[in-house]
Amino acid sequence: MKDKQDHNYKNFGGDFPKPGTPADEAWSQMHELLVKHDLTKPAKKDKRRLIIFLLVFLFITAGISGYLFFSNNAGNKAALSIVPDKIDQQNEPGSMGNDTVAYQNSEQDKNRYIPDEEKAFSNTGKTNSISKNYSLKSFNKTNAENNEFTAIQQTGIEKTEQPANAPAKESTQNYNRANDTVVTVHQNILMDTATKNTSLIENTTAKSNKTTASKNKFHFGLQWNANFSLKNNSHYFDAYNGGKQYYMWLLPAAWAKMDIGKKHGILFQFNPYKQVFAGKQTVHIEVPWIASVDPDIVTRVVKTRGYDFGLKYEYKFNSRMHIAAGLSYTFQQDALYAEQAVEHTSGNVLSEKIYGAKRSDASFDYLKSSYLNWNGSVKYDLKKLSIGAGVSKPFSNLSADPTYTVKPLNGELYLQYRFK
Amino acid sequence: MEKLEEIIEGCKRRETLYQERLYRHFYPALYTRCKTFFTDEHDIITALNNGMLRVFAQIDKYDPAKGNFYSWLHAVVRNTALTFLRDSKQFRTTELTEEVYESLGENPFNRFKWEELFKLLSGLPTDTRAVVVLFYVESFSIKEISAMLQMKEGTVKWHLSEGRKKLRNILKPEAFSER
Repeated sequence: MKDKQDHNYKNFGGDFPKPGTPADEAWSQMHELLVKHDLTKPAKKDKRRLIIFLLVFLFITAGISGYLFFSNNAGNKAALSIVPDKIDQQNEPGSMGNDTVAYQNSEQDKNRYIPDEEKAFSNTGKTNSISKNYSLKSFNKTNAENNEFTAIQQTGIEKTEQPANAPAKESTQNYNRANDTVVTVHQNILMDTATKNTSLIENTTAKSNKTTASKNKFHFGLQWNANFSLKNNSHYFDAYNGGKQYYMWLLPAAWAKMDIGKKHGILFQFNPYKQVFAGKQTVHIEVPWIASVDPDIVTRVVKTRGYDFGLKYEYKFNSRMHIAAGLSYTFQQDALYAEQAVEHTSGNVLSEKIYGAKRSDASFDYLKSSYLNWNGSVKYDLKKLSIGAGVSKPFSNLSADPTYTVKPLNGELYLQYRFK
Repeated sequence: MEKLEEIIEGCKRRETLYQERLYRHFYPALYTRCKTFFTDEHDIITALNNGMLRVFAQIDKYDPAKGNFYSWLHAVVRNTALTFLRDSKQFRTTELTEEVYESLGENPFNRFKWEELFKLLSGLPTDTRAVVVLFYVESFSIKEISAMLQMKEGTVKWHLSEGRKKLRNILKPEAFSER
């Protein structure tokens, strides 16, 4: 007798008859067993994907914000860069036109660019003291410190005229040559000083603007949301405990915003009672043992509530209008279900029961514990108060069972109050 | 659809999503296997789910080097189903001493489709049916069946003899009009 035979599985790999019990029902029993023996837990993979997605979004937002922030300061930087550019030009051989700027660089530079004129003056033996009178070092220093363009300009003219006129008494060839040089140089001084002063004025203005902007950079306040379903819902005032609660249509939230430049902003929102109307979409069907006799029990989700963290990019159209778009992540806490007895053959609803479920209830398993949303909104400012409207839709499925897709589009009206 | 390896890894992490995918993927095959042992729908699902419960609990022990996943899965579910059978105490202990089952030879069930096989097996008592299935369908030796069902080899032989007697007529080709 053989101790062991080669296993020869019949029709291995396929062509199996249709099971007498539907897979849904068998899995439902299996799931109960797994829960009972503590052998299961919700999938983490989807959450991980959502978190990665959220992080990528944050990085992109931060990148855009950074770019916008720095590009706003680009004009100021350009103004500031005039002087270094000129200095660079100064260092090029033969660039006489910008000699004056070299004065403010260093003594060494001064000595390098002045010698031509000083040589000329020194040849007369009388002009050294004069050249010191209109030393650009002190001239520009005064300029920078006082930022009084006109006064300095006048001073510059006076001082410029002095050496131009004074050497006339000497009437030497060398002196004349030096005189010409000095006039040319000081014309350049005036032009460059004017340019520099304009830059300084721009700098001061930009700095002043920046100071004003930084004062208004951070805002925060409260918000009251009124969600509404865009499809198939009439349970606006039904509470999650089965009763009626009229404040369910105006739920509070908090927000904080950081301005980036004049037109851009990043908005963070925390909504402890984010409500989503699901339009009575199916999340679970229980088929009876004898389907032709007993009705199917169909569980539909009416609405859900949970806390929500959101991040939005906001663009300011004008002084009052804003548009915003972003993502938020919701942790579901409550759900309101409609349990319907549906005739198997005709699909007629025989009865309906509305009931609430908390996160700890077994029927809450029909929903995912958390999900990612996208949203967009328009806002109109009325001083400290703003009114807005928007839409939101889940990215991920609200239903825990992938057989059913629940991604309802919701509308939202809101009032926003700004403390700061 | 993810690869089987990915689903198995998910099941090792005990994530519901992957457990469900694995269950649904193998459900038709395992249901069919369990149906060879039981006629009652409730028994079939109970045996299958008990088996899968053990699969999910012990999936860390699955070693790909020792064989393919389906073989392991099937073995676990089958053994659980046999345990369920034994626990139902429907086994008789009559023994046969004749050495008539030296080898399997050609498997007479290979000619039939699953539905036809179920029809044939439905005429057998539960214990005889299990032995016949293990011997003819699953291709186990008498010794192996003896160990699996914790019964004497003589008893296994007796069940096989009984099964053959009852199936003698219906195993004839003319019993199925289309053959």
